[in-house]
Amino acid sequence: MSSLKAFLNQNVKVITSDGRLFLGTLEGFDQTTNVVLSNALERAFYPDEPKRDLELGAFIIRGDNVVCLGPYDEDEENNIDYSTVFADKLKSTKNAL
Amino acid sequence: MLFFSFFKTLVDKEIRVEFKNGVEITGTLKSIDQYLNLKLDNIKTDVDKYPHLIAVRSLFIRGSMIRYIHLNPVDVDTSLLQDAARREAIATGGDKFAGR
Repeated sequence: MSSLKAFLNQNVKVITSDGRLFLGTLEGFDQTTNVVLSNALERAFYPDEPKRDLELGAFIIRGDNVVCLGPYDEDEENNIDYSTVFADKLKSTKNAL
Repeated sequence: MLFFSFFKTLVDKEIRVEFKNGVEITGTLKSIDQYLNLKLDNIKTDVDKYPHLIAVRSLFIRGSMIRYIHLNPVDVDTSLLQDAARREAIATGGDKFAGR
Protein backbone atom coordinates (compact mmCIF):
# COMPACT_ATOMS: atom_id res chain seq x y z
CA MET A 1 0.00 0.00 0.00
CA SER A 2 1.24 3.48 -0.76
CA SER A 3 0.17 4.88 2.54
CA LEU A 4 0.88 8.42 3.62
CA LYS A 5 1.62 7.10 7.11
CA ALA A 6 5.36 7.42 6.55
CA PHE A 7 4.92 11.18 5.99
CA LEU A 8 2.88 11.90 9.15
CA ASN A 9 4.11 14.82 11.26
CA GLN A 10 6.66 15.74 8.61
CA ASN A 11 6.75 19.00 6.73
CA VAL A 12 5.28 18.38 3.31
CA LYS A 13 4.58 20.16 0.05
CA VAL A 14 1.27 19.49 -1.64
CA ILE A 15 0.39 20.38 -5.24
CA THR A 16 -3.32 20.67 -5.91
CA SER A 17 -5.28 20.17 -9.12
CA ASP A 18 -5.70 23.92 -9.66
CA GLY A 19 -1.91 24.25 -9.73
CA ARG A 20 -1.37 25.73 -6.28
CA LEU A 21 1.36 24.74 -3.84
CA PHE A 22 0.79 24.29 -0.11
CA LEU A 23 3.35 23.66 2.60
CA GLY A 24 2.56 22.43 6.07
CA THR A 25 2.93 19.70 8.65
CA LEU A 26 0.96 16.58 7.73
CA GLU A 27 -1.35 15.95 10.66
CA GLY A 28 -3.67 13.40 9.12
CA PHE A 29 -5.06 11.76 6.01
CA ASP A 30 -7.56 9.12 4.95
CA GLN A 31 -8.01 6.56 2.17
CA THR A 32 -9.39 9.16 -0.27
CA THR A 33 -6.23 11.28 0.23
CA ASN A 34 -8.03 13.99 2.19
CA VAL A 35 -5.18 15.64 4.07
CA VAL A 36 -4.96 17.86 7.14
CA LEU A 37 -2.06 20.30 7.39
CA SER A 38 -1.08 22.44 10.35
CA ASN A 39 0.89 25.69 10.06
CA ALA A 40 -0.04 25.67 6.41
CA LEU A 41 1.26 28.18 3.86
CA GLU A 42 0.27 28.77 0.30
CA ARG A 43 3.31 29.55 -1.83
CA ALA A 44 2.87 31.40 -5.10
CA PHE A 45 5.61 31.72 -7.73
CA TYR A 46 5.64 34.53 -10.25
CA PRO A 47 7.48 34.83 -13.59
CA ASP A 48 8.87 38.29 -12.78
CA GLU A 49 8.94 38.71 -9.01
CA PRO A 50 10.00 36.58 -6.01
CA LYS A 51 7.64 34.01 -4.55
CA ARG A 52 5.16 34.99 -1.89
CA ASP A 53 3.88 32.97 1.06
CA LEU A 54 0.42 33.31 2.53
CA GLU A 55 -0.11 31.92 6.03
CA LEU A 56 -3.25 29.84 6.37
CA GLY A 57 -3.03 28.01 9.72
CA ALA A 58 -4.81 24.67 9.87
CA PHE A 59 -5.94 23.48 6.47
CA ILE A 60 -7.84 20.55 5.01
CA ILE A 61 -7.45 19.61 1.36
CA ARG A 62 -10.09 17.37 -0.12
CA GLY A 63 -8.57 14.25 -1.68
CA ASP A 64 -9.82 14.82 -5.23
CA ASN A 65 -7.74 18.00 -5.41
CA VAL A 66 -4.43 16.47 -4.37
CA VAL A 67 -1.98 15.91 -7.24
CA CYS A 68 1.07 14.93 -5.24
CA LEU A 69 2.46 15.23 -1.77
CA GLY A 70 5.99 14.82 -0.50
CA PRO A 71 8.08 15.62 2.56
CA TYR A 72 10.86 18.13 1.99
CA ASP A 73 14.31 18.49 3.50
CA GLU A 74 14.19 21.41 5.92
CA ASP A 75 17.91 22.29 5.64
CA GLU A 76 17.93 22.13 1.86
CA GLU A 77 14.79 24.26 1.75
CA ASN A 78 16.27 26.90 4.09
CA ASN A 79 19.42 27.16 1.96
CA ILE A 80 17.55 28.11 -1.18
CA ASP A 81 17.74 31.72 -2.22
CA TYR A 82 14.16 32.18 -3.32
CA SER A 83 14.75 35.80 -4.36
CA THR A 84 16.17 34.46 -7.63
CA VAL A 85 13.56 31.77 -8.24
CA PHE A 86 10.88 32.66 -10.76
CA ALA A 87 8.30 30.41 -12.32
CA ASP A 88 5.06 30.36 -14.19
CA LYS A 89 1.95 29.13 -12.48
CA LEU A 90 1.42 25.39 -12.76
CA LYS A 91 -1.35 24.32 -15.09
CA SER A 92 -4.57 22.87 -13.76
CA THR A 93 -5.06 19.14 -14.17
CA LYS A 94 -8.51 19.81 -15.53
CA ASN A 95 -8.97 20.45 -19.25
CA ALA A 96 -5.23 20.99 -19.51
CA LEU A 97 -4.96 19.87 -23.13
CA MET B 1 -6.54 -5.70 -10.48
CA LEU B 2 -4.28 -6.68 -13.38
CA PHE B 3 -2.49 -3.36 -13.59
CA PHE B 4 -2.11 -3.22 -9.84
CA SER B 5 -0.24 -6.55 -10.03
CA PHE B 6 1.63 -5.35 -13.09
CA PHE B 7 2.90 -2.24 -11.34
CA LYS B 8 3.90 -4.31 -8.32
CA THR B 9 6.40 -6.06 -10.60
CA LEU B 10 7.91 -2.64 -11.39
CA VAL B 11 8.77 -1.76 -7.77
CA ASP B 12 12.37 -0.52 -7.47
CA LYS B 13 12.47 0.29 -11.19
CA GLU B 14 12.88 3.82 -12.49
CA ILE B 15 9.75 5.25 -14.09
CA ARG B 16 8.67 8.63 -15.46
CA VAL B 17 5.24 9.89 -14.50
CA GLU B 18 3.43 12.58 -16.46
CA PHE B 19 0.67 14.38 -14.57
CA LYS B 20 -2.48 15.71 -16.14
CA ASN B 21 -1.05 19.21 -15.65
CA GLY B 22 1.90 18.34 -17.90
CA VAL B 23 4.56 18.10 -15.18
CA GLU B 24 6.89 15.12 -15.55
CA ILE B 25 8.62 13.42 -12.64
CA THR B 26 11.23 10.69 -12.81
CA GLY B 27 11.85 8.46 -9.82
CA THR B 28 12.18 4.98 -8.40
CA LEU B 29 8.82 3.30 -7.84
CA LYS B 30 8.57 2.42 -4.16
CA SER B 31 4.96 1.39 -3.72
CA ILE B 32 1.58 1.22 -5.36
CA ASP B 33 -1.96 0.71 -4.11
CA GLN B 34 -5.35 -0.33 -5.49
CA TYR B 35 -6.10 3.20 -6.79
CA LEU B 36 -2.76 3.17 -8.62
CA ASN B 37 -1.51 5.85 -6.25
CA LEU B 38 2.28 5.74 -6.48
CA LYS B 39 5.14 6.48 -4.19
CA LEU B 40 8.41 7.50 -5.82
CA ASP B 41 11.85 7.94 -4.28
CA ASN B 42 14.78 10.07 -5.47
CA ILE B 43 12.53 12.15 -7.67
CA LYS B 44 13.90 14.36 -10.42
CA THR B 45 12.00 17.19 -12.12
CA ASP B 46 12.80 20.23 -14.16
CA VAL B 47 13.38 22.44 -11.10
CA ASP B 48 14.09 25.54 -13.21
CA LYS B 49 10.69 25.34 -14.80
CA TYR B 50 8.82 24.02 -11.76
CA PRO B 51 10.55 25.02 -8.51
CA HIS B 52 7.54 23.81 -6.55
CA LEU B 53 9.09 20.52 -5.53
CA ILE B 54 12.54 21.84 -4.54
CA ALA B 55 13.98 19.82 -1.61
CA VAL B 56 11.41 17.04 -2.03
CA ARG B 57 12.98 13.57 -2.35
CA SER B 58 10.11 11.15 -2.07
CA LEU B 59 6.68 11.82 -3.40
CA PHE B 60 3.20 10.39 -3.11
CA ILE B 61 1.26 10.75 -6.37
CA ARG B 62 -2.51 10.40 -6.56
CA GLY B 63 -3.41 7.86 -9.24
CA SER B 64 -6.27 9.94 -10.62
CA MET B 65 -3.89 12.79 -11.50
CA ILE B 66 -1.63 10.69 -13.71
CA ARG B 67 -1.89 10.94 -17.48
CA TYR B 68 1.01 8.71 -18.57
CA ILE B 69 3.60 6.47 -16.99
CA HIS B 70 6.69 6.04 -19.15
CA LEU B 71 8.42 2.72 -18.60
CA ASN B 72 11.72 1.33 -19.73
CA PRO B 73 10.86 -1.34 -22.36
CA VAL B 74 13.28 -3.83 -20.81
CA ASP B 75 11.18 -3.81 -17.61
CA VAL B 76 8.03 -4.91 -19.42
CA ASP B 77 7.19 -8.23 -21.03
CA THR B 78 4.49 -7.01 -23.39
CA SER B 79 3.45 -10.43 -24.68
CA LEU B 80 2.99 -11.67 -21.12
CA LEU B 81 1.00 -8.55 -20.27
CA GLN B 82 -1.19 -8.90 -23.34
CA ASP B 83 -1.84 -12.51 -22.45
CA ALA B 84 -2.72 -11.63 -18.88
CA ALA B 85 -5.02 -8.81 -20.07
CA ARG B 86 -6.82 -11.27 -22.34
CA ARG B 87 -7.19 -13.82 -19.59
CA GLU B 88 -8.58 -11.19 -17.21
CA ALA B 89 -11.02 -9.95 -19.88
CA ILE B 90 -12.32 -13.48 -20.35
CA ALA B 91 -12.60 -14.03 -16.62
CA THR B 92 -14.48 -10.78 -15.94
CA GLY B 93 -16.38 -10.06 -19.15
CA GLY B 94 -17.05 -13.46 -20.69
CA ASP B 95 -16.01 -14.29 -24.25
CA LYS B 96 -17.23 -11.10 -25.90
CA PHE B 97 -14.00 -9.18 -25.25
CA ALA B 98 -11.70 -11.95 -26.32
CA GLY B 99 -12.44 -11.58 -30.05
CA ARG B 100 -14.41 -14.80 -30.40
